[in-house]
Amino acid sequence: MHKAKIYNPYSAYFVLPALVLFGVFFILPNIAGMVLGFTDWNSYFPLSPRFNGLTNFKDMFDSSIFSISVKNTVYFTLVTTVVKMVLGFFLALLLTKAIRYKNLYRTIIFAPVVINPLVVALIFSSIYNPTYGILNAFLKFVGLGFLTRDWLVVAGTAMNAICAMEIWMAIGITMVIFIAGIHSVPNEYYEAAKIDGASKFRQLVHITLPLTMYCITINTILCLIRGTSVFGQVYGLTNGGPADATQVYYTFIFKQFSQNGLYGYSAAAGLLFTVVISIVSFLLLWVFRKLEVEY
Amino acid sequence: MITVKRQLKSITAILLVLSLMFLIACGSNSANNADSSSSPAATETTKASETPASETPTTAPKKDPVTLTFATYNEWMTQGTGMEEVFKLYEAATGNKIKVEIYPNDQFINILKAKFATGDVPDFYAMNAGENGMPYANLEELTGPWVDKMVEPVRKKVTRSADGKVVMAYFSPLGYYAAVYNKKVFADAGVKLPLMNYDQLVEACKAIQKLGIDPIYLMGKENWTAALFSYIGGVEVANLPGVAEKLATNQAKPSDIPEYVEMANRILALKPYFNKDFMSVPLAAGIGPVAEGKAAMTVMGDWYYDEILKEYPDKVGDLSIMPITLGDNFVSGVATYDQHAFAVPSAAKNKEAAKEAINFFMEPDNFKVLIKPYKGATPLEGYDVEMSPWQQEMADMMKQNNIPLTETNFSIIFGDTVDFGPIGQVYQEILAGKSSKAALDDWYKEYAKINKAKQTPGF
Amino acid sequence: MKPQSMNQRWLKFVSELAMLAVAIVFIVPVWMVFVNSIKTTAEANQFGIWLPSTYQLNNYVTIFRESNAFQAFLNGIYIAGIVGVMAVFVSSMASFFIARSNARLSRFSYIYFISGLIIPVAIIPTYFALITMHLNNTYIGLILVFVTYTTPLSIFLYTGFMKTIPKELDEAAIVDGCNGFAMFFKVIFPLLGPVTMTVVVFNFVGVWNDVMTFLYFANGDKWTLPMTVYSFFGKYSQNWNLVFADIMFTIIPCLLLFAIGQKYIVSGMTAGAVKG
Repeated sequence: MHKAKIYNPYSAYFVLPALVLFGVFFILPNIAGMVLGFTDWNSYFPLSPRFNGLTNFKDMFDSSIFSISVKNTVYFTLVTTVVKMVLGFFLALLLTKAIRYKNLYRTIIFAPVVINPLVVALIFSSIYNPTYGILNAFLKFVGLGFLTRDWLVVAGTAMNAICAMEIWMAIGITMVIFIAGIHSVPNEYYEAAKIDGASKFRQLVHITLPLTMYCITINTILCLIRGTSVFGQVYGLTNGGPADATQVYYTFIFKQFSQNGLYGYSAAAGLLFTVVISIVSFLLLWVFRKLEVEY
Repeated sequence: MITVKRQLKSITAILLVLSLMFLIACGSNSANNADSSSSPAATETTKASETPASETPTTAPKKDPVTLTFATYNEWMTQGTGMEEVFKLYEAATGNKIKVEIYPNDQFINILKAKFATGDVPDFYAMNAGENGMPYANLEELTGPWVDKMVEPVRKKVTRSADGKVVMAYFSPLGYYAAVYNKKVFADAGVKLPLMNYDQLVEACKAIQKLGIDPIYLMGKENWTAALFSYIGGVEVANLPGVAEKLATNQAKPSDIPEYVEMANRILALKPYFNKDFMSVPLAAGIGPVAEGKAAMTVMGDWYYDEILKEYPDKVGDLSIMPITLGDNFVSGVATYDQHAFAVPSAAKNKEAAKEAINFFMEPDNFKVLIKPYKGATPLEGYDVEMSPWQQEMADMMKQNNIPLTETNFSIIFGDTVDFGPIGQVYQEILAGKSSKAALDDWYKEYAKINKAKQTPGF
Repeated sequence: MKPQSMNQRWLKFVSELAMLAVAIVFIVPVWMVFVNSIKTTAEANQFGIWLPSTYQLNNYVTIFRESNAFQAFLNGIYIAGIVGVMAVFVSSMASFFIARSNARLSRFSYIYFISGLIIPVAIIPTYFALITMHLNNTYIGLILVFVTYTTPLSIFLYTGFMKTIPKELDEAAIVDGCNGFAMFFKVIFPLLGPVTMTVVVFNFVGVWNDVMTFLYFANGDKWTLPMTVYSFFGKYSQNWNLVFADIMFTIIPCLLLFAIGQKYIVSGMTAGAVKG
């Protein structure tokens, strides 16, 4: 009595809600952004944006605050990515050897990942407090008192202070992924290498690294995404200050949006970000794919 | 088979619609419960629940209680301000309720503008007076016995230039932007007050510094505190012939005007006299050091009277306020005409009730409650508003020395039509090391862009 | 077994020491927050790591009174809960289609959704969309936005996992007369347990710890707990004992959730990695 199997049980209705939702709240806005970025849409005339061609982009590249925020974003991304990758790998190595309390350490290091960036920023603003904060107190305690300074107020150190905070907060992610990768390398390889007389170091370079290449890919991409889209950390710790010295891309967008009411301008900045990041990401993916295949 | 499939489809569709409806219902319910509302716990008796005599056509008193929505800055509704109290009086007198919505300080204006655009306006709001901040378009004309009692500068500020109608109800005692200073410290340093020009200011700072006391206390973490120097001290520059006109119509950039650049440089030149940690002191830290004599003065305003009264009651007499200037030949007391005021959007759902509520607040007895805890001269003639001892002393000092009362440098230059953008960052940047010209140029770029968007004539 | 050489033993010792040092770097800040949250204001403002001289447990009472903590807590639970449920259904259904169907739509959908992992969110235009739909500052608006943002990752996880469920199961169910939604929910969905848990936990943490979405699309009364800590700090920045108490109150649910859901979070993160 059952009909012949022309009937497809995988109906498109399953995917419909997701398609619609994602389309309305993600795809459409991105497309709209390509238009809004070329208007003077602002809070004075919120329902009547006018085309102003490339003015927004001209103003962006003219603005010293924009160039500072781009510089800072790039610096932040590079520094945190490199440190998180190197330190994260190192920590992962440590935690896959014969150390006691491995799981406990892993939990402790990963825990800050689940804390809200704003809250972490508040905690660190107390740590960086020049008079009482535990950082300066510690430096004085170990006799490095001359290194103490007002970390968040001097432009040079402020950005590094933010980087340090991000590393503290997110190195757990990198480490955990590396741990998974290292675990996935079959022991036989190491034993074979040991029989061949390879030193620990050579084992590392020739076995561990290549076989965890995909971890490096994932981690790099994750770090880059976290780095370029940084917002809460900077907003909470310095809000772009002092005097716009620590602005990053997303705080720049937020400032144009919330303080200046220049919606079109911030949409333009967002559009630029989307285009650049998409291109860079796809390029990176392509590069990593090739590297992986070679290994 | 086909019928089963159809059944399943329709069931799913119904389920989806139902859950969506459920979500919306839940959403709006919780939204209603979550919004803060002031409770009608009226412990004070009001002075007779007479309906305010108004010149608007008297609408019959509503039988059903209305809930009015009110929006304002986060900062203006902190505990102890009169608005909270007078709202309770109003609720007890009329049975209406007021739902208060507060917004972060640096976003309120933009949020309000967005609300106007979508028609989702509050019934009334409190904002700084001045067409410069929140445009006066789409506001209801306000009428009531208080309208004619406004003193002239206040009336001008709340009148819509397009048609001359009064659209805001000003409820701040008139005060001063000024330097809050420690009389004892200045006396010990042998400085003669008032300081009539910039050179005298610098000399005074040097004398005070010799005593080992910080001459100027700056809460420099905020991005607007350094701008007060130009606000208050830059009146001479603003009054120079042509300056105001050129800047307001975009015929010149601030960095094109040598006197303007000089003013910025003079602020920078005061840097050696600031407290060493000025860059990290937030506003919330308060001006304790001035009260305790560890700093000589801070360039702020008379509103600190109440705070000092609370925290350093025995020192309140040691402090006072005085005019300062960055100019060579001119000093003025700078009045605050741009403080708290109510307005009613034309698109408000309960605008008649809102207007009546405002008339209620503006009655003399309620007004006294409304303006707490601030002191100053009365903005409405005949109203009983207290001046603080500090304000009295400053008024006396001004009279004795023929010091005029003016508006701020910004009001004079930018008037009410030009948006002056993020002024705060200019001086913070200069103090952090940027060159005056570069900082002024960056500021110009920002405010020019905003005014272009605003379609201000000339930009 | 070869006895460990001096070198190896020394290496082991240094490693353990290094790990200990690292752990301390991670514990001390949290300890400082905790210990200062029960001190008086004057003492707390010194950020010391010593124990309080007097125990001020009423700090926690104060923050409940002064901040919107309880409301924010409920907001978080409400929003994160609904988002979690919705995300699970929307994503798992979509993944089912993508993993199983060979239709062109299926392949298109996969790319469509995965692009969301790479392409950043267009915040400002989304704001515009919400305003025109009158969904700004509404719970439903927030929920829809959150579900949207989590869709790419959820679909990625679900699709990967579903591919490991043999198609024979579906076919057996169909032969038994069960198909369409019934088949999915009765047969497949229960098998997705681990991934569902991961998606739920990820979503919960994502909503709870979100900053930008709440700043742009909601006013203070709809914020979650961590966001209100920040505005609380704005008002009480000179009373660090209260601020720290508020922070403790915020961290504890997160850490608790982490302790319970740790393996899901970690497995979710490595799922992508191990799959390669």
